Amino acid sequence: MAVVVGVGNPTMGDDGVARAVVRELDGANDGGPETAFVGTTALLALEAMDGASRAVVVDAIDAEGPPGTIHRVRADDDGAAAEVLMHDFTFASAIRRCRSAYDLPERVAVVGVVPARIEPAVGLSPSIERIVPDLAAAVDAERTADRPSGGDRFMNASWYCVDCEAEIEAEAVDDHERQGHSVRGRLRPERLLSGDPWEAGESHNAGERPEGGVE
Amino acid sequence: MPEIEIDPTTRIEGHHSTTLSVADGRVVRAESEMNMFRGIESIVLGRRPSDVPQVTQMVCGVCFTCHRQASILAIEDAARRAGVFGSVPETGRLLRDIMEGMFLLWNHAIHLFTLAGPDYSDAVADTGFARLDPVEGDGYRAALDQQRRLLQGFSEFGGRAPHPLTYAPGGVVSDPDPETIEEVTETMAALDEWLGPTGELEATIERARDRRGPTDRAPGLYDVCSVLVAAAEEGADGFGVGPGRFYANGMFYGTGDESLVLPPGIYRDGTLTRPTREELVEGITEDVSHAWYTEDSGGSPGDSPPPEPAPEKPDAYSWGKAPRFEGDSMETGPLARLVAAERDPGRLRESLGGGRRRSNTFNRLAARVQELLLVREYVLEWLDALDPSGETTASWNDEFSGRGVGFWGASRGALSHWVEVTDGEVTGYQLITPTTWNLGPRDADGEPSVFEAAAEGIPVPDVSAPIDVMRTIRSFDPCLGCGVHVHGGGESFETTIEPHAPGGE
Repeated sequence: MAVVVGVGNPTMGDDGVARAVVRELDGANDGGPETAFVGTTALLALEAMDGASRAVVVDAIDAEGPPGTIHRVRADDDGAAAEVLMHDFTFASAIRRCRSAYDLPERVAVVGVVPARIEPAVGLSPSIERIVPDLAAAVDAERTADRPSGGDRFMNASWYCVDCEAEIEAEAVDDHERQGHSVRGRLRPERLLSGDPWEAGESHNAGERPEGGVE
Repeated sequence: MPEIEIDPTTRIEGHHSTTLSVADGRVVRAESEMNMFRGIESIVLGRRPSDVPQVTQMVCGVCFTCHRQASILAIEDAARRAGVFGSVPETGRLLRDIMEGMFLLWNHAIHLFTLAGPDYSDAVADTGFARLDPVEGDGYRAALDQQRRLLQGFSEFGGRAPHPLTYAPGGVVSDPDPETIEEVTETMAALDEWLGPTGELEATIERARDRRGPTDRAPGLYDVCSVLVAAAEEGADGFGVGPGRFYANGMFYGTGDESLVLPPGIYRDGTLTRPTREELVEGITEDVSHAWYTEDSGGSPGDSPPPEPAPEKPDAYSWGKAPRFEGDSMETGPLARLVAAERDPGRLRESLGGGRRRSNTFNRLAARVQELLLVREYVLEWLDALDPSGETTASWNDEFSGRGVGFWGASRGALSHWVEVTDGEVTGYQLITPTTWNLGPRDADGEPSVFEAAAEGIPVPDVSAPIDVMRTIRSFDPCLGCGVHVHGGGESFETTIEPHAPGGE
């Protein structure tokens, strides 16, 4: 299960953009994402993510580009990349410290937008208001993109040490090389990343899979 | 310094592999290996000239039309030089242009969505562009539908696809009526609508950069721009840098004067020239010092015999020869063609690729997007100009002796066929393909091919997943031909073939 977590302060102008996005997603709810708007409270964010397999955090972020620029940061590695959030705690440290207390998702992504105005005010500036549907779509895309990470998605690698005359693990390549051994790799790329195109979604034009499959 | 063999490197066809030496996290040497013997040149010997296009187009199921076209051009050139042939009527030329153009669009769509595009999808590289995900992405599926329609439209004129039947020495033997032309025009209009206006390139790049999703006006444009945005973000303007020498054969006759719509060009040392036919014939040679062929098989393609395999040859590592122009390796492909044509729609290469004449992985992708948009417009113009009552073919007779060369463009780059006809029978044949220009082996001086040079220096942070090397190989759109023809004289062979399932063993 994926959860969308909105972060921000709606009394600080565009910092409330995440609440608007959460409302947009709730409005279009067709059994879609579970959402939570948590304000600026880290504990509520952790509560919201508890038990989820992945989380998408929405916020106004201090990043490159003109107001309205949408950024996507993936934080598979304990939320390290989530330092961009503009609040008094960081997701990185919160997630790192609270792993033992909560059942937190392995993958946390941040979808952020560059704000036009951060000052005491209620309501979004017009340029950010306009971007809310796009931001909601970006969040939804992030939530549904479901892939394992790492190079093994597109490459199958096997390693062989010529001196030991044995197959070795990828992690052992450096060790063998340090000992002066000659190491060879054989990489077989995944071609279309899908083992069986017949099972690639229900709306496939080619229709039913033939009896007995393709041999 | 581990040595890594990547095999296969291509997403369809399994005949190319690459061996990399990696030191200090960078590629220090690459060897590009073509793992098949084509042998088409040997098969056409002794046949009548007008039979030859039917054979040569079967060199591949992806690049079929251009091998038919280049073969026809070579044979017509030989007949013209022998004084027995004039020219193809304009309607016939235009029909060929339309078919070749549709074929090129189909091929570029395959490249951008199936062969190279997935390297920039969310599934492979966490780019956020899930529409590009192979098989499942909405963009991928929409493109697949357009590809299907393009080939259906193509076969209205060509008889079938792959391996059409209608263009032949002298012209085109189909004579389409206005309804057929209208049907093909509708197919192209659907493609036009899917792609969207070329003028929105820059705005669509911005849209893709913000991951805002496609508009109804230009869904295809959004997806091809997504490939470019992801490539730019992955730093593709900084890797896959070739030697910066470009070679393009001209292609498409169009409706204007004798000049070609995409002109020929040689770009070296900062200078663009327009080579004449004679300069190309004189300048092009093939080197076989690292290819599994006898030494006699190299040299000037007009004079050398068809390739004679020498599979035990020391120092050889490829079934591809090493073509050179005046001794230089030359990059060919859409980037070379647009450098030659001095076109850069949307200023993509100037603004995102480090310069419109820079050789790098990003610019190769960008030029394919640009050519897709340009040729789409040309094909629509040509369909509009097509006269259903015009003559499509001139009379043709195989009985002559002479030599000719057909220079044309495959979607992957410069293609040439070289023919010698003696008393109505083919006595010499060579074909030089874009993939041997780009991904051939080293030459006698040890000078690497364009890809081998471009791979050197690419950072490889994870030796188990050198994705930027893969992206660079695929940016050349390598295609090594489906036609594995083994001729065994009087013997017979029996073998069991297990077809590849996509992605799996």
